[in-house]
Amino acid sequence: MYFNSTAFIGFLTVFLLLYFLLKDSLSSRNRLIVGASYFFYAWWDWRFTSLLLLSSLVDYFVGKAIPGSSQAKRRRLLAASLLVNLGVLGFFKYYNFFIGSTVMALSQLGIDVDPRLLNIVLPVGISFYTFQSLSYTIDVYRRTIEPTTNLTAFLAYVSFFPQLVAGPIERASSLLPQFLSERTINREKIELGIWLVLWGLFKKVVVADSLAPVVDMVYSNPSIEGPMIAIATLAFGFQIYCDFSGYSDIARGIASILGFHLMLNFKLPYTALTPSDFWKRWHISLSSWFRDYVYIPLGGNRGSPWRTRLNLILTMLLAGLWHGAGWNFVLWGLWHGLVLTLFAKAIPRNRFQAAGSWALTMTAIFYGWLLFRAQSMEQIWHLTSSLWIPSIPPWAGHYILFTSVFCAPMILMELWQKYTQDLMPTLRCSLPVRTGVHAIMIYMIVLFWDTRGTPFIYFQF
Amino acid sequence: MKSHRYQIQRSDLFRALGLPLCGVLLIGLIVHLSSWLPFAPTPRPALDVDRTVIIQQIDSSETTTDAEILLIGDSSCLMNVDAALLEGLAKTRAINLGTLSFLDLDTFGSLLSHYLDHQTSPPKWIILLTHPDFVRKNSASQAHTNCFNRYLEKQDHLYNHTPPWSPEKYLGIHIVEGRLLARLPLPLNNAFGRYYGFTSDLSSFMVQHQGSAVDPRSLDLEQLKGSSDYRVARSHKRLAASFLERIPSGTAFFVGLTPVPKSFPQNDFVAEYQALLNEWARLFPGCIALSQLPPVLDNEYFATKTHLTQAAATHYTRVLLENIGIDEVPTH
Repeated sequence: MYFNSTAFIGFLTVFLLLYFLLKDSLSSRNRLIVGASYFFYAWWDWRFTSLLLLSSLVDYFVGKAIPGSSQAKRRRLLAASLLVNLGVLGFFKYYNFFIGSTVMALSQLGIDVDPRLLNIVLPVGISFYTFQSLSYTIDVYRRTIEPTTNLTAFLAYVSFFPQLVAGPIERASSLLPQFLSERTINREKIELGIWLVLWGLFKKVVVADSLAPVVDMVYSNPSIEGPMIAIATLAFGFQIYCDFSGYSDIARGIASILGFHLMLNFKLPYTALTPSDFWKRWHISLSSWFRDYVYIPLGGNRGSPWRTRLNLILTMLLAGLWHGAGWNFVLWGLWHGLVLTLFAKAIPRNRFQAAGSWALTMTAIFYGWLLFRAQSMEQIWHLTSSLWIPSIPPWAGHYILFTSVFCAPMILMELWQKYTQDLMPTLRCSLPVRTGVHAIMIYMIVLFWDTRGTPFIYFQF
Repeated sequence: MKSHRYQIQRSDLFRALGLPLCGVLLIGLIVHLSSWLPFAPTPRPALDVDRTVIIQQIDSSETTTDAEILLIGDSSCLMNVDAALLEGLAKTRAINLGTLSFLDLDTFGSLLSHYLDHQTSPPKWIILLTHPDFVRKNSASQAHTNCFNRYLEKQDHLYNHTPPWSPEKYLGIHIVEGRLLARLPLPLNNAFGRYYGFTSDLSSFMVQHQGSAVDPRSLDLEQLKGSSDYRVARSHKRLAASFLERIPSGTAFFVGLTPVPKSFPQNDFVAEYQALLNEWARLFPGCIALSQLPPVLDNEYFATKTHLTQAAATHYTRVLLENIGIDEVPTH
């Protein structure tokens, strides 16, 4: 059930009716959230709700057991949680990748092995909820938070349907207490929620889904060479941004309407002046997760400069692998790790430096998108090596026109957001302007709406 | 414990949600009213491959003048014959009015009449070319037939069978799609996107090729499963007479069936093909059955079960021309 499907509109309408008609009691509404979230997840494949439940129960009971235990037992409990969570994730997401890669490596050495590959279906959102659930146990182990004794609230924290399948990856310290205390619903939250849902849907339905076929036109065509690859990669950069940030915005918007606050996941990432600035603006919930639970435990920047660089590269390598079981994702992570180490000292001091740094950063980021979008290492090599061939297909003009038309509203809105220093600029406008902008957005969403819904790119991760 | 603390009034909700929804209704009203304005763009809903082909063929039938050879039929007519090549070889003007989606003889007849209405003299040769799959199909695609008819009438067209309560109709979504969005070059999907690019590129290609197109797909052997038991569907029997009435007197009228992949038929297809062609041709008294066209061709010549590749279409065009024998045919 995608946010951009008619089924979800039906689901959300029924849920909101039940939610607000139900007795105003914390426990009954939390139970409703859990029930609805499991129903929402079961819509894809009901069997995978057992994995969601397993992950939640393990972390709930481990979290509960940790405080009264000795240091050795605490470690064992944490190890058990890591083993179960990462074991399930590893099996469903990486089993075939590692087996296939090992077999390929062995065959390079002249050893032929008959691999036992399994027909595994990747449970949607597993990487997201596993990390969210895991962060709770680690935080309890680190004594950053107190464990909860409210199972319903914990189940709701892990399975909260707005952010269950593609984030933001929330921390227990921020989201869990919201299930345990009275929530406020006021005009600001409702207005914010409606704006986020509309802008998120606009980005997904109008921009990302319109750009998808033009990106595919180049990336699935092995005979394309030259500047079209760069233009298609640019289009993909906008597609993935609108697709993913659109999802995050809708998630935050629905949560806001229900009285919750979810963390900001994107903050104008293409205005970043340096790669490290980019990672403070792109998929913030994941980059901060890797910072807190991988980079800092590895030593962060506390060691020698070389050790810091190695930590950065290792962290980004794992972040790449988190995205998908493919060598192109590993390469993407490695690329970002290298770019981050190269730009580590870059701090633009004036406008010219800022412009130059922005251009270099965007070149690096968008080349990263080429690695991310490619289907194989061979394609990465082909696309990279043929970027410089001066070949332009007859439809290049139409391609540029179409891409520009669909990127323009997003770019204009981001410029408005940047120069007003306000991510919700329409909310500060007069009522007629705001109403007009929102009405046009709704009309455009209906115009481009596909009743079946098209999957979000990040659902595959 | 209470779940929520409410600090909101109904008027806040109306301002946040009710007013924008009223705004949407107002936009819908403006769209409907604007469509009546004399300077409003006319509907041209070329939004995908099928609709672009339908619209392009209607446009061609209005703008092409005095072709002597006219091809009409289903998608196998569109994809298997290169009208530009035919024109070059026959040294006389040719046009292909084949359509991609499944329309019926009634629609072909309307297209033919529309073409004839825009000409000063009728074609000398009209060739109705269809695939055996067309011959056995009983019903046309309603969505595409509606698209054809509505475009012919220059009316806005609601493409999908939307339920009566669907907001699309009331908000004038189809008006914006057909009059504004379709004016943009829109990307085609999959193999068509890779080969042609955008809707407007497909239109340009068809103009350059006198109405013919190329199927850029590769034959998937899975398509070759199914029945090869062909017989003429009853619905064609009703429509054939009406189609025949639209053939101008003095025009030679040919009827032919396009080939199927060699490995597809289960039994003696050559004999079956002749019987099918005869049965099909009997629906059009006075026509000339193109009985020497190949019933089957090697699989490698096919892009799909019904369409030839570009190279095979070149070959097939030559074969077709030899079969017509334009110097010696009697007239209808």
